[in-house]
Amino acid sequence: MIYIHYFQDSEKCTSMQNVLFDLVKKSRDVSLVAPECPLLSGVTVLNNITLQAGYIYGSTPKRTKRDTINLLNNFSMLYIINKYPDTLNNYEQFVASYLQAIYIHPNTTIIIKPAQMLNWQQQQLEKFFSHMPDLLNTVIIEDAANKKLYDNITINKEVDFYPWLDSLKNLLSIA
Amino acid sequence: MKIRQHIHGIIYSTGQVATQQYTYLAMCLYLASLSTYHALTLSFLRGHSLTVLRGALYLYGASATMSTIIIGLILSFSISYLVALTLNIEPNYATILINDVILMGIIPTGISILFALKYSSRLYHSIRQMSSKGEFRTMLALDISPYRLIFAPQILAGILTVVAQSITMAFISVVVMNIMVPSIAGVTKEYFNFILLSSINPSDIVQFLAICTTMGLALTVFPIQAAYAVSDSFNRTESFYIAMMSIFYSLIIINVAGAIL
Repeated sequence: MIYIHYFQDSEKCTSMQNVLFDLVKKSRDVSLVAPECPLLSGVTVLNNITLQAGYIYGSTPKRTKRDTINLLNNFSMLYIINKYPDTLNNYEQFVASYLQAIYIHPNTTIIIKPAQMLNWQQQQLEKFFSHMPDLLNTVIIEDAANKKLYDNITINKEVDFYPWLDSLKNLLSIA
Repeated sequence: MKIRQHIHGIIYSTGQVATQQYTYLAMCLYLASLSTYHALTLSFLRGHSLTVLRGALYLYGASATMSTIIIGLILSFSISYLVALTLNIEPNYATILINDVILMGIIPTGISILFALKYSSRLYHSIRQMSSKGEFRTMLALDISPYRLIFAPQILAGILTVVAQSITMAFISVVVMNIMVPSIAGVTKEYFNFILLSSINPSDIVQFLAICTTMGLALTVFPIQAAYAVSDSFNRTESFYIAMMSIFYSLIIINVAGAIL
């Protein structure tokens, strides 16, 4: 399911981002993809994607590599597995960030300003959403000025973000 | 009235600088204690942290071996002449020179200056770059502590490198002195070995290792904290300033600790 929230005010968006950072830090059921959270330079895409799993859950390298190969195959981008983030283009970096966020199977993935991360290219945005797994709940927070870019993308629901965030907090029992 | 205002301004700015420095030192102590905790539990030796440790050890240690050996040799030749001259004047002075000046002073300080110029500034620069790119925010979003992932391996690598390089330099000095000093001073090798052995006790070796550890800790902790705390723009010279300041701080710590103990 894909939910989208268009914001008009950039200041509100910044405060929303801070709230989301707090939420993500407190709960592993929510993960975040944002332009302010780049991939770690000096670390390969494989290690970037499996960073959290290897660090927190102690997953074995063999298993994490197999899972990463499967995830990258969904996007037909296996060739980036051993590359460094500095050598990737915008689309490849965005996909790697997204895979990093969904690797530990969170309940909800929040993507902030995907259009900005993809350099406002509608074609790449459509390509990404066509490859994205449907099973996950994905919440997109986007600038209202970029609404046109989402014309050809199936959005399940337009949400008002704050009530949704409150219900999510209640669900995760975070004050 | 104007003079009074001027004096107030000076007192205010001095207080501000002092507070900043105290906060900086307190944060450094916090970073050092946290990293020591991670190093003692060895919890960071997993995943990417291990890669960081390996990379840092290679960068600081293995790639700098040749320069350490060359500078060690140059330093040892000059030290040998000094020891030979002192041995001719008074043998007791030679023991003091070998123990207090060479082992506790020249070797750790020389290695520290080398390390600071080469790697402390580089470490400061790389952490600052990570900070400006927002990579620490990524780590926080992924619930990963940068202290455990990046800082603890870097600090451990710094300590191990300074200790290992100082031991290497001390070993080179002893070998070169063993060859050079008897021929310059006109004494037998057995006599010089006796002087050398009597000048160094087991407690001195512990003290030497403690000095090297403190140096390694300070040379990595101060640049990391300085880079992690500040987020505005910076220039290249600042990194060298921070690196040299870390030597200054480490010398103060060593002297204060020495005076207390």
